[in-house]
Amino acid sequence: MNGKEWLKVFATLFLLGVLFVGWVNYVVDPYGLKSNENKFDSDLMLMNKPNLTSLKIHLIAEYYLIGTSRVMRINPNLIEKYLPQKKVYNINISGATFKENSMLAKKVLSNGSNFIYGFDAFSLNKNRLNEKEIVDRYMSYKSELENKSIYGNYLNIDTLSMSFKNLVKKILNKNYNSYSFSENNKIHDAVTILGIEEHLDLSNKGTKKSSSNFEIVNNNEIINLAKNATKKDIFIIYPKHFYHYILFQKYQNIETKYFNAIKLLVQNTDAKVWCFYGKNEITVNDGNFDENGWHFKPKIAELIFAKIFNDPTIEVPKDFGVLVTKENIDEHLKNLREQVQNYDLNKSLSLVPNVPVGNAYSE
Amino acid sequence: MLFNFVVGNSLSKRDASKKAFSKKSILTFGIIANLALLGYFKYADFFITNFNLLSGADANLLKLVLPLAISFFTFQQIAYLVDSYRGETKEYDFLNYALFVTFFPQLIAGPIVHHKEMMPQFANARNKVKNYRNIALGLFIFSIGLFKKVVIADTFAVWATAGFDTATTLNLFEAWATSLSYTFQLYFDFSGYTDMAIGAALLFNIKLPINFNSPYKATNIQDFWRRWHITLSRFLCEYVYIPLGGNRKGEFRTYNNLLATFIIGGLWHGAGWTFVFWGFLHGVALVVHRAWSKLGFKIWTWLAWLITFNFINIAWVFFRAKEWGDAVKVLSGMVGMSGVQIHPILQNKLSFLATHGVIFAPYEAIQLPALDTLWFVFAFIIVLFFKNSMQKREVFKLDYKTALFAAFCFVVGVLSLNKVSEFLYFNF
Repeated sequence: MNGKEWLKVFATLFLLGVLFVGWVNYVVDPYGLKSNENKFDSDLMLMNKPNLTSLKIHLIAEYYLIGTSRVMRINPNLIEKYLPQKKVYNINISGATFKENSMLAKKVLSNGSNFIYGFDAFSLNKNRLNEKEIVDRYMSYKSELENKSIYGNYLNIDTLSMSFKNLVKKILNKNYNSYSFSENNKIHDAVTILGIEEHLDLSNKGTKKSSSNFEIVNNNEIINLAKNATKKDIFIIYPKHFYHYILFQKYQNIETKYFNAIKLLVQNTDAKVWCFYGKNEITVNDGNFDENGWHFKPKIAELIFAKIFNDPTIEVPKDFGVLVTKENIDEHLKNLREQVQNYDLNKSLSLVPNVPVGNAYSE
Repeated sequence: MLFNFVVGNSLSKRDASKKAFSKKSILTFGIIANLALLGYFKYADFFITNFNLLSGADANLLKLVLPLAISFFTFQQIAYLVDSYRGETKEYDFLNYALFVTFFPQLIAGPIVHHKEMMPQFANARNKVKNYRNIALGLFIFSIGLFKKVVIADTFAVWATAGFDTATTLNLFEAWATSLSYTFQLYFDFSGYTDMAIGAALLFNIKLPINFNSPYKATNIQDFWRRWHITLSRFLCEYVYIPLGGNRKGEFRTYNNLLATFIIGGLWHGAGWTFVFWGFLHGVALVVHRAWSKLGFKIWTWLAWLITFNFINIAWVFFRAKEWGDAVKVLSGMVGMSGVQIHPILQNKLSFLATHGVIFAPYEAIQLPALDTLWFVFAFIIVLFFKNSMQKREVFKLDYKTALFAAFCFVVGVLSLNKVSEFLYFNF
């Protein structure tokens, strides 16, 4: 073989290899682009893939799940159950910023689709927006969304690897991904105020960038998002373990700032806003959360959407979830604030070293 | 570039000694000018920070954007000036000199080349005609490099970044996975880049020098530096260690020279005390190795490899850590001070360990799924038992086997390009 022949063989093999990858990815469909049925594992494992998000948006579904890592726990198939004949894609970004989620929401709406949007406290922190990793990530999502040749995203080794994992799983009838997330009824550690404080560093020592220097993005940005949404869109304030709300009231004025943002949203939108914030049967139970109460378990996602879609077959605690409106928002936020103030906070905070208990009620 | 061309030219002209300034003065001026530029862009904030710390002053940081690859092209041009001073270069054409400095495959992160090994190749008329064998060989090496970078290095990068930058604590296995991830990431990243540079240069019939020769097979630290970033080692040896006196001035001075050379090497990699400490550790290791060899001690090869690899792995922790606290976090995890956690996939077989305080839980702190731990086995096999790309270059044949291998690496590499990543050595 001479050099010229070698190059021809190389080019031919390259072309065949690319076509093979595309064919396998299209047929196996590990990320549920054609169907979400039995694809939840892949969605659970989905860690910020701009190319896949772009592909999902270009493929045009009726609904998109937008939000932070909490949304990762939501099976799109669960919502498809309540919206027959409608396609739902999950396009969460782990650690998403408001800027990223707003960009996705705008793109989704411009395609005539609707969204179910997680209105998360720390995604609203504008002081995260200057971090290099965040800027780079935003730019990579932006450039992927502007990319016209989206079907090239089927030609992707990450997807091929997920395709093979799915095939192996089907052949061996095993679920390798189940270990990656806590099982629904398993608790690794009890949720503690101290654990949350260590996790988030809400006392603002400045080492955890997502939760330090908490300042909400400009009102105009929230108003724009709110006004662009339609009656078919849904905003959700997803639940965290109740201890978070104690610390939100104590540190950085987070509670007040977050509540102002929620009020602004509710007052300016036609979309439904569901609030799962506050002390209720779900948020005081350690067994409903992972990572010190930071992420709710997948089983809580079932309750959230059973509540939203009024599913009589699933029993949802009565105090879990409130549809907030322009009329009841003030009263609702006042109740939430009082829930924290009336909780036996002293007992909890006494577990945190060097925290003057009296300050907890300084507001 | 123009400045260095002019200085180099005046150094290489025979009658320079008759001019107002001696060749040595011109060389000193040239080197200081280059180092001043490097110092301004790369080290100014480091010095200001330390000055503030020591004096209690509050001088503002300059926060300059580091010009891409400044460390590389500065070293290459300093080498050119020294070679000109020694009479080893003869360059009167600025365009040729510009090509030497900016030859794109190796401009950004090396290999650091000598003027004398590049210019004859650029001048050779036979290198200006199409050579299909070299194109095939170039694609072959380039494909291997692309695969190493985007498939292997970028895979390990996720766990290294999560462990070093994101996790607050790391248990025993997470800490080892973190340090090993960076050890493999750095090797596959940098050697992958070098392979791509060598491959791309071959498309133009230009042969760049070898830069890596299976460094993790090294059985002592000196052996490691003969295999890792060979052109940097060559530079440090020729332009720092030997001018300092090398091993010509007695044993004690040799040890000092080794230590100084590697501390400078550490500082070259980055403006931070963690880099200096990394260089110091390697300098000390070379001193110990030299003393050990002088005394005639010998140990089993496998033990020598184990000690060498672990030393390198631990030293990389300081190299990678953005702050001392990150290094302490990883190292304390590696010695078990943050507990032992085993993946629940092994819980049935190892449940008796729970009574000894072992926890069974997924490695969420570094986002490492159980199945992906096989990547570490894969990486060890590749670095220890496979021929490296340069050995493959030497025995390359134009046949279906090499075409299939290259096409596989190229397909997987190209179709993995959708991730955001950058070459680690672009930062240095």
